[in-house]
Amino acid sequence: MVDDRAQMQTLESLIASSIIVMVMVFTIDATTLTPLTSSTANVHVEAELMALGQDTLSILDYPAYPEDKSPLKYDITGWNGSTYVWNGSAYNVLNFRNTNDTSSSLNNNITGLTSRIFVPRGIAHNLLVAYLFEGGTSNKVMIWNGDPSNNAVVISRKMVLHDADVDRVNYSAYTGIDDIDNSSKLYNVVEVRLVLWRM
Amino acid sequence: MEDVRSMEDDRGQLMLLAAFMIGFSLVVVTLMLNSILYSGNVAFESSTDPMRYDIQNIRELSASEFRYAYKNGNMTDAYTRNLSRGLNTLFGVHGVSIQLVNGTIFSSNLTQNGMPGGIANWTVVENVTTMDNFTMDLNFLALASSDADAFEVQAVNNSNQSSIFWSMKVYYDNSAGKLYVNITTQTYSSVNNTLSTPFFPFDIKNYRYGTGDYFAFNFTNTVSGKNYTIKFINGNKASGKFNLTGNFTNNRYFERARDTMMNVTFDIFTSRARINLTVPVSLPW
Repeated sequence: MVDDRAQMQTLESLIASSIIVMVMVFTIDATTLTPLTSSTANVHVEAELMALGQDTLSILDYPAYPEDKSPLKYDITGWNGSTYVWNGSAYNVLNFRNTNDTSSSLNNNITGLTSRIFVPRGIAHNLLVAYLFEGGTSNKVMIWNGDPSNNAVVISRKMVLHDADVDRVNYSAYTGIDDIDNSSKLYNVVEVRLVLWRM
Repeated sequence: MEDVRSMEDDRGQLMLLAAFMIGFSLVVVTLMLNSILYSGNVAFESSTDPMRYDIQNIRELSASEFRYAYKNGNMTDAYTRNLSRGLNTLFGVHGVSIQLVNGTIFSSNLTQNGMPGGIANWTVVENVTTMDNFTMDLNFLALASSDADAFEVQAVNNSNQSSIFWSMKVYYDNSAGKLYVNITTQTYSSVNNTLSTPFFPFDIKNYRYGTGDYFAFNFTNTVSGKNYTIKFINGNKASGKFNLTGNFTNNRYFERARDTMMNVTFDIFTSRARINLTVPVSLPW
């Protein structure tokens, strides 16, 4: 009987120590069970944003007629180089001296879609245009709504600008996008980057 | 007394063991569920491959650029090189390297995509109100040999697709060495017309063919004042060029033309894969 008791106590201690070890393993391995942690739940959100952004840029880059520029190309080639911020009702020019400046707002094909798709869903968005120059690449911001979060996604679409697409006199001065090939009708190759994140 | 106490101790220890086993099994089950959820989410993440969007972008952009370069007489090695270098610089930021090559040029079929296996019966242009130019230059040796499966061009009523304003069938009898053209309208039919060489090009709008000989295509007077759609039937039975320009019903200008086909090759390199893709591109449209 003393042996049985000793064996029972040994068994008790073994199981107790196993439970302690399992609890420690559980604590270390727990990754998926809370939506607030940086976990695989955020992968779903990122995948949704990626799909939404890709669809938006694909629609914008599709011309209504084969002879025409796409709405996205039309907006990029007609851009005046300014940066615009969503103020709750419109995309107004970013004026550091007067943040309430509403003298100039952006109304084009891009803002027509972003204000209808992203704003009602609480999806913050930035739109940048990256372009080529002698030293490599640079970028300029068209729409700015703050620094993206860690879970932001970036969707990009490349397009080619021709000499006939832009105002050769003013476009370079406004946007910084220069003609990279004077020997042909190629003006520049730009990348439109859409950054999306949940607020 | 001592036996009763030892029995109670044993029962107590058994109950404690049972509680430990229950707790242990709960922890194991929770860990397994955790692993299943994690594995499922990792599998989901691996299925969302953004590379396909880049491939689609490259393909559309390159086809569009080669068409533009061909139309503007800018199809040079320097243009392709500069375009390729520009794309490489931008894609390189994402870890993708691209090589773009404009390859062989070959004769096009009159199917939707210009290839022999493309859709043979297709709509070339809809909602046409006026036609400024309608020319075709076909390889007569590639035409069908009888009326049954001959290449056909139709001008169809926009509001009633079963109502054909005008149609033209073209076929070549190799044994007789004759080209036949059949013209049919809603009020008129002229079949088994033979043309003298050279047979092409057809200037359908201006009733001319070859070196300027007259032929009663009867297209212009038949469709005058009407809104119509141009269709090609049995396009796989014809090879060559076509050019249609005019205005839509909303007065916008259109141009639908095909001179030739070109194979464009993309080599796309990433850290995970290398993709070699050759796409036939119709030029200039």
